[in-house]
Amino acid sequence: MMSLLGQIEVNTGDLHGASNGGVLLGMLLLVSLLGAAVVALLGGRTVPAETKSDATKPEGVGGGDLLGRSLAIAVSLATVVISALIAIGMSGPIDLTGVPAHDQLGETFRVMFDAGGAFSLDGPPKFSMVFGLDSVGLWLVVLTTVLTLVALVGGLSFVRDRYAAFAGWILLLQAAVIGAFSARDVLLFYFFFELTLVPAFFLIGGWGGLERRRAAMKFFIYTFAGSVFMLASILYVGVDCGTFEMSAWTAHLQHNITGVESRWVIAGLLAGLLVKVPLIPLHSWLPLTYTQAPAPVTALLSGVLAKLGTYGLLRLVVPALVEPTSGMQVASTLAHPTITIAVAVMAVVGILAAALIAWMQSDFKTLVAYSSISHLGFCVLALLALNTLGLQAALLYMINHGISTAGLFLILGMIERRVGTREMGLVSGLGRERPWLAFFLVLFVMSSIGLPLTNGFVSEFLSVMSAITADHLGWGMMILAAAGILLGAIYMLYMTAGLLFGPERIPATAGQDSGLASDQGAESASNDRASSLRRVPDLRFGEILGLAPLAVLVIVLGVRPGVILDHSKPELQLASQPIATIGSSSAASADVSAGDSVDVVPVDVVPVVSTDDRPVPAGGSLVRLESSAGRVGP
Amino acid sequence: MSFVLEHSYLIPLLPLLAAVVVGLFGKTFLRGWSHLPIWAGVGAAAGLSITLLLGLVSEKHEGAVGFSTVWFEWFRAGAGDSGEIVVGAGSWIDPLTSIMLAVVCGIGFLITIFAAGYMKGERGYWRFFAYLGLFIFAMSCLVMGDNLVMLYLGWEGVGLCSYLLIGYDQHRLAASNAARKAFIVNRIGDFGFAVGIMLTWYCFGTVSYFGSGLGGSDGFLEMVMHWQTHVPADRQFLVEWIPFALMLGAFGKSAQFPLHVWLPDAMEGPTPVSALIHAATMVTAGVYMIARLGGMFVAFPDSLLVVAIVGAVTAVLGATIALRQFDLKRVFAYSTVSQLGFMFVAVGVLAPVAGVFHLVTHAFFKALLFLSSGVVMHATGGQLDLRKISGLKKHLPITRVVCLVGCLALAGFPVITAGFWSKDEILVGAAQVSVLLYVTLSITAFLTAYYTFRLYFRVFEGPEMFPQSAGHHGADSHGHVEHDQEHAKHQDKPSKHEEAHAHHHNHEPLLLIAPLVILAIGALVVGVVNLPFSAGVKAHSLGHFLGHSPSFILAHDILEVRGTSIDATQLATQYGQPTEKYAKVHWVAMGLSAVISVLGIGLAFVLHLKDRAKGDALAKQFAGVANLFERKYFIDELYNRLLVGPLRAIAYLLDALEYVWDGLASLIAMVPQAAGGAIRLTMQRGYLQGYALTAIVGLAVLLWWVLV
Amino acid sequence: MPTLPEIGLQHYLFVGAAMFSLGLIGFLTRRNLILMFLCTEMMLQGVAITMCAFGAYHGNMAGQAFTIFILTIAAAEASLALGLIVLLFKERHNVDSHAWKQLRG
Repeated sequence: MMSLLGQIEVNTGDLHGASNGGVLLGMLLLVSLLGAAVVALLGGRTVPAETKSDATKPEGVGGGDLLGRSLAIAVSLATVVISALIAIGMSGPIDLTGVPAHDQLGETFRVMFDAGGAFSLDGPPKFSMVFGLDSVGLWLVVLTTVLTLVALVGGLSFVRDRYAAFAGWILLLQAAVIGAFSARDVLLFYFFFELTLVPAFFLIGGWGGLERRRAAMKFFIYTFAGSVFMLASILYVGVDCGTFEMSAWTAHLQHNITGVESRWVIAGLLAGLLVKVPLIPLHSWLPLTYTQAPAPVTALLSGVLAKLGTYGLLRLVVPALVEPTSGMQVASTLAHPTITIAVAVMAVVGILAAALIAWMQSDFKTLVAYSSISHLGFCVLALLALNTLGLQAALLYMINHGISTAGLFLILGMIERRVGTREMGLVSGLGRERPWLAFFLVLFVMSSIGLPLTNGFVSEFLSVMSAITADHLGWGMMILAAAGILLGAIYMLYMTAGLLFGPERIPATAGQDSGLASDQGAESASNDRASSLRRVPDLRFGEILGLAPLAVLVIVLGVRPGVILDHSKPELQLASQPIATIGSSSAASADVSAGDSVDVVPVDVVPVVSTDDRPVPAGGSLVRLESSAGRVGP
Repeated sequence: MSFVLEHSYLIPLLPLLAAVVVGLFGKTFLRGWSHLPIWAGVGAAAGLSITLLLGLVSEKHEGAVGFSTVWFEWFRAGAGDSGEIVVGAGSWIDPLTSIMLAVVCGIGFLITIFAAGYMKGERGYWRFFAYLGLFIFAMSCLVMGDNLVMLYLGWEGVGLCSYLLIGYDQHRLAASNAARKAFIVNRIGDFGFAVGIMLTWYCFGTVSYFGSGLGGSDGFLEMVMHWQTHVPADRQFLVEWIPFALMLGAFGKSAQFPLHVWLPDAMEGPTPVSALIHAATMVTAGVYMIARLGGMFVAFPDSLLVVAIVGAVTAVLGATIALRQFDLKRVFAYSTVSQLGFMFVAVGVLAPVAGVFHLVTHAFFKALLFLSSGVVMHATGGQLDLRKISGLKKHLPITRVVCLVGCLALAGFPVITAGFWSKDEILVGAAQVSVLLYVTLSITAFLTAYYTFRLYFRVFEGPEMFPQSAGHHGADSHGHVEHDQEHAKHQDKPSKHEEAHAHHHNHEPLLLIAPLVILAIGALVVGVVNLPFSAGVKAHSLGHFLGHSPSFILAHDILEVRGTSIDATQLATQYGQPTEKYAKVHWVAMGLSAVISVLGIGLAFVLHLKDRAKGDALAKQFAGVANLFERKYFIDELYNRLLVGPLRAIAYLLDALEYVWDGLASLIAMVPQAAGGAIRLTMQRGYLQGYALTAIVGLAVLLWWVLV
Repeated sequence: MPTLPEIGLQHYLFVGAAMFSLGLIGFLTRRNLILMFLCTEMMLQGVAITMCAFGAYHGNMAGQAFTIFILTIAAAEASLALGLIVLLFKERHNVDSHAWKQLRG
């Protein structure tokens, strides 16, 4: 490990602004990539024959791939620790990042890692392998590592064969997602964006349900077809611009590409990103995929992969939708009103339609799959508010949706494993004897329907509210979106009440396939309480351990969402403003409005000075903000 | 008191901690002792609340009284381009808060004591108490919060607890359905509430009631008086919708027409829950909200008119349905709906003091009535049908007395009961606004007296019918069909108290009776706090006390400044000192309502005790009307037909469209597949010569292109 | 008696092209696998002659050297192909290429 570290330092040593944080980011990528390879190769050793033949031993508990299991968890833990270190470093208490690095536009990325410098074949366009994290990417990376760990721990009980290969693919998926979230180059982003498809394809196809092959194929081709258009857009702008470096690229798209041209470029980007999210007319790959993939993979698909779409929207599309000349105005004006409104309408229609469709489902995994479509509609709507509130809400929504939906898919997967069916009509009354199961299900459901003090509330509330703050969306969209919250409660409660409450009903075949049932004696036929508990037991310790981090996050982010909201504000405040043209560095740096609470001080880190005379609440966290002047440049 | 003010967070925190402790250790360690942490937590909260109330009462005040404490900043988002929202978690303590807190925690504590006796031996005992603790936490957040989002937090929190507690008896399908219905109907209201909060922030830029404190103008209640200057011009058209949006939330939570349908079903929950949540505390949250946001409503008088009308409609609706209900708890449930209607009329006619007064007295006597119905249920083995029980006074002597007290209070029996004084205040308030409203409410009061004593005479007086051998002794089995099946299934598991009962025949254990007696005393004497004349205590002391609440002061100021379509000076009395004219009206109204109450009781006596056959014959004579009442005006059916049905149809259609849409996607996928197939069939036929020829021709074409 | 022209490059190329074309025509018209195989050999030899001719014409040995390679490869190929044909014959008892058209997939 030490030599590895040294190598990265050599790589980054001569680069601008490289810092300890950059080393950490590089380590994060390398650890998950190498970890994937090591786990898949070492852990994948075939199980010794004597263990295999031991039929009485419950499957999956054998010591055969203990190495793979422990290695996978260790690697994942390491990535969680590294990402946590980056987060801590970037949040302030420990100055890990050193001097913030600046790219050529003077935008601040607090952590940068250059994997190999820039190169181009015969002149422009330039492609550079630079990774960087600002607070937007940071929290998504943290989410990714945490969810990966949860998926791996969850996978321990879900995946009964070839765990090492499974873990290898999952770690590769993690590496690809982290790469996408931290790429500072649009082409690099695209590369990782597409790279995620490969592990996802094999995970669905290899460990999925009965229709896994069709699901994997459909997922791959559907999303790939969308992203081909995105690639076309990326190349078009990149060639025109001369570089794929992200901020230059977006600035070029915003300033130099106009009219019909830009409309086609944005349409292409949307085709790739909205399929990934997905919004409602582009979603038909999702129900099959989410239901067929094994629960930990579904958790990652909806928790993390879907966020690639919204993240892409935030990074690539949102800047292009803001009118470049509006930098000095309070509210951004639209560069592409038609596209903005059209996508917003799609989002709102998606919220309502997906919620209604979810209500009609009898399969609980499909229900949550549709709820995911509905929920991400809120996120897209918030993005399209194109202002700081909307972007903050959207970022928080991405994180929170990742947490709650991953939790939901995992707990439902556990239920599915126990009762052997996904049909809600066949199962009821599980809650009475299984308090842990009931607790986690209710907690994640409440998070999903936005109950205050769970994480879902703040993001949902702010997302819906951001609609009214944007003149182009207005109160009508806000009310429709709020109605979506109402519908969300309806279908979720149908599911929860159906599964947990009512007379206890368990299919006769339950527990035979799960490897969980401890003993199936003759009395298992009788509907007696003890035997029903034996056939469908409460969560085991390992499963609780897997869900606990998510449950803690649900509560912590519900009570202190400021961790993310405040931290990401400077970046998102900038993101909602048009990006300066190359060369003119200070166009957008002037602070924008009177009511703003951030003073312009040309230093990198300033404590906030509240401009209204309301005293900072006692005992409240004093929000540490970075001045927007950070973008003025080195 | 200063301790409580400084550490106001303890009031919600202690019950929450207790709930967490019970939640973690209840099943494994505490088991039958799970009530102890909750007793401690809720008891401490009750102690703090009552200390606070007494402290505030005993101090001399001039003008507005309000203490703001910020616990921590909850979240902050947005910037100049969108406006910034700052939401703090903090408490706002003023007379209104302190009264609500005392009611919530005090009555909550009594009910946790009762519940320990009542729920004894039930499965999931610990779960029940964890929910209770959680409920007190949420409810105290609701009444203590210093901004709308905190109110919303409590609002949703109590909704969740209500959901969990109604569904507590999880093996019964009816309970599960009722729980879901309660949550969803409440969510309809909360949708309005959420929209109201968002509009409030959008228009005023804050969700805090009073901002950083009194005297400034950084809370929206302070801005609402001159809202035209505070709200940006392009947003002003939205301001007047705020109270309407907010009131939707109040209607949902307080079970007002048209969102009242969930409350009667909520009686599927255990009886202590019905008493605590669905009678005394949670359902009054809507009244609290409108009283707290008085200024917002007063500034837009149309909204108050709507509140008053909805309140009156609900009062009549609830009372008439209660006439023909046979389940003890359902009668009380509809009576609660009706009484909440009274409170809404009170806040609607600018008499929020009367509303809060009635809220307090109602909390006492309705909790008392529900708990005594619990004792009845405990004794009769879950049988609550008025047609099947009768003359229980011998078996339940103490219960009979306390229940009589509760019934008298509900019926508004003159002078000696608290209910009389509070209902009277509302009637007077209504009389000053509209005669029609007054007459409506008076008729409702008459019906209330009638149905209350119909119930009392049937259950406790008359010939004895005591279905002691009713068998199953589950706390809340109602004898519905599905329950019977369930109950047959669970009969092999006798609960502990069933056995205890079989041996001792003690229908009135101390744990159940002690809280009842305390509540009964309260139901008699609590009226003293707001007598219209001086008798030992000052006249209208509650009014004077609440008059120091900034909410009331601001609303009053708006009335004075803006004037309304109604005579402002008259109305202002409700917010401040009573005038002479008010006093005159008052005495007349008081006399009338005394007569009405006694008449109602008398009618019930004639029809349900003296000559029950006559009562039954009368019901047969008006079978149509009786049926209408009995079937609750078919409102549930109407909703199913008009709302749920179409919504389901749309959802079904959309679901079907999914297949079409997915098919279309597959169709697109079939284009390359079909092309491939066509090529396979035409060009790839398996003849080696054919391939060779194709290759040659291809080569030739290529050469032609390259060379020529 | 007309004097025969000196044998030049064109003549070699003509022979090579003729062999290639005849082989091609044979390959396209015959269905007997052995004959088809012989035809491909003929095409190969046509190419080889052409290469040798060019090699001689340019005065270097590249063409000849390459031809040697081709011949070796062709020999190996011939043995493989004949072996395959024998196998196919054993399967269907004829050497008609159409007998194997279901191999198109």
